[in-house]
Amino acid sequence: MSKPEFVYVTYVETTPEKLWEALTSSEFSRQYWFGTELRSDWKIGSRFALVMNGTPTDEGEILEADQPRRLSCRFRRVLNDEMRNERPTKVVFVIEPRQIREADADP
Amino acid sequence: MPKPGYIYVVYIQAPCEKVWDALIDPEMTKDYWGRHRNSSDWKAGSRWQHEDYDDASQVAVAGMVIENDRPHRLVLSWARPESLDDPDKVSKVTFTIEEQFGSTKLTVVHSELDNEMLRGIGAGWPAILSSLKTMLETGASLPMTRRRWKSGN
Repeated sequence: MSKPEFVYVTYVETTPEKLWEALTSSEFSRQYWFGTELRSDWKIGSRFALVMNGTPTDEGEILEADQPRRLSCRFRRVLNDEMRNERPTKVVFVIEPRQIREADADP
Repeated sequence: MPKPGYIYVVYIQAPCEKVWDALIDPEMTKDYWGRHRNSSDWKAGSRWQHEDYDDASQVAVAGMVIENDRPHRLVLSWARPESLDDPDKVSKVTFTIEEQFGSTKLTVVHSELDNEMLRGIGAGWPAILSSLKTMLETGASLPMTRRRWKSGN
């Protein structure tokens, strides 16, 4: 049986480069991610952590980093031992400069 | 077998009333909804239609107003105009608008879809609703949603 998956699509009036920066820089993330800081050098295989008010909440590794198009990481919640023992989850960010195509859009 | 459903959630920094009004104000929909407008008297039981802003005879979607509880809930039936009488082709859209933590949470549930409609709206809603959010927060919609996506229907 396949494991559940969640997909969210949004259009942002900006450039792929700025969006990439917003996803990888604590200066941005503190403003939109409940004060969370991002810790990583964003290289494939590097460690990745989310830190909220000095406390690490999530830890994992970078799986893909193709600036400014695709970023993926695998991580798990680390707030307590029970969470640490859960299987990690995977997130993929896909960034595309895009005008909607006529054939795609309806209504 | 149940028909597929679609759900999209977006938070908008604007009052519930403004979000509600933006769904039915032609001067707003023309800028974020592909130069179309939604026309109706918006009373429960009335017909509504999604038509070209410049040519009301070009109707892309039509249906009935099922529920209207401004500014929190709007429920519409939704079909291509030629399929209005075919229950298998009539889907349902529920807009739920709630104040949450000083922002407005807009939830769009599009249910009872056929596969063709699912493909179309799956591409359409994220663009339309992203543009609605951008417009209400910045004053300008996304340029790509200001023009028609299809000529006629």
